[in-house]
Amino acid sequence: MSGLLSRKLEIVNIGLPAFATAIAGAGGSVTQVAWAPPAGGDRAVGEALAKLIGNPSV
Amino acid sequence: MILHAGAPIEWSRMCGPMQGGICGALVYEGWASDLDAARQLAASGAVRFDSCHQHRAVGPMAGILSPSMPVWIIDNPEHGNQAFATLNEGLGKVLRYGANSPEVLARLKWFGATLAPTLKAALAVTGPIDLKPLMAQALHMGDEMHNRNVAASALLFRKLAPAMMKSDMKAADIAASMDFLTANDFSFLNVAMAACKAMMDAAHGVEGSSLVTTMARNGVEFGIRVSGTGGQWFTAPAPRVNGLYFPGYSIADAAPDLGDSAITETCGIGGFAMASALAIVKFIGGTPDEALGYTRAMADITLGRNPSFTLPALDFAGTPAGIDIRKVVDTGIEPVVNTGIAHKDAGVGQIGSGITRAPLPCFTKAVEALASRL
Repeated sequence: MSGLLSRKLEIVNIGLPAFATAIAGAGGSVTQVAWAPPAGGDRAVGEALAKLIGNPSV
Repeated sequence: MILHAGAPIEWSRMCGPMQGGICGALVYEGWASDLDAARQLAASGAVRFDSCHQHRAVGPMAGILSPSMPVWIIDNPEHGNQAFATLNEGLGKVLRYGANSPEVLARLKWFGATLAPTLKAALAVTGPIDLKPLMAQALHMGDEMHNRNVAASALLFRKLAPAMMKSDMKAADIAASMDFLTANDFSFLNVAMAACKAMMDAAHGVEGSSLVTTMARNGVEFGIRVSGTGGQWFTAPAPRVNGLYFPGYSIADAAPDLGDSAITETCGIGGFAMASALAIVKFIGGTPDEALGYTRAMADITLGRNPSFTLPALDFAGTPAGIDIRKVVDTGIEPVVNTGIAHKDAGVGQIGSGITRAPLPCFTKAVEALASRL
């Protein structure tokens, strides 16, 4: 862990870009991945979606 | 019965342009003596209204289709189905934007008396015209066949004009038909829509399929249908289009998104083929880079690409085709739609153009419905 923090980090940030902005603002190197929870975070729709993805009958 | 654009909707909830178009159609058919009588008749419940899509038809904007109106007939010989669309009226005061003045109805009468018989005579000379290669060529000439149809209209005219001359029609009728067609850059829009409808209907009704086969707007709701969920519509409030407005108009004047023309996007052209139509970004707002970006992004929510419709600007990649409700809900990317913008009041006409999006709730509802069938 101490080794990790003592060398230059290459950071990947998934989701909220505010975290990446803060790292870049501090001089760090960061790659932002655009991602949002499926179905806008709606649990019921997410579960319905999970039922359809990878389903051999769909 | 009178057909209209989008999902079924009752008279009292219809937007201004749709009510105006229906009143015009009632007078055109001779079912009402004037527009006041037409409005009373429409509100009385004595006339049945239904969605074009539920009768193998499509119509731009209000999409009004009544029994006497001539239609294009598009055959899908591989799957044995047909689709229908009215003849495009051009721009300005037209029924599809809710205009219903005597000049509008006179043009519709002229369609029935002159233009349609002349086109029919020309088609008797040419035989069936193969639309897919024509559409593929138009994509290579800068059309996306929703907001830009100038190339496709010219290509169709090139086939029809000599055939009109070889037909038995009167010279005056041929001349008037040619004048009308050459002045209308949107002649092909209705043909493109019916061609897309014929393609998408062929894919409808596959058990378990998550493919979107219809996207359409009735001016109140945006609606979609999915191959694996039968005739069920999944709707959400139709958005107002934040596009480029003609001088003197703004979004406050606009009717919510309207028309069956989103069948083009459903089929992978229109907004999905914006990479073909860089010249119209000034007309609908945006930049060439954004146009390329729209097409690239749509590939993230489609099941594949159409190898028949290729895009020179993207190294001849096929148009992204076959919207998958699962991918839309998973990514949150809403399908892009190019569109004209109608004034909220009947008869004013087009007040702008722009790019809008199919609302995500349509797709989340469809995902839940498809999952519940498994």
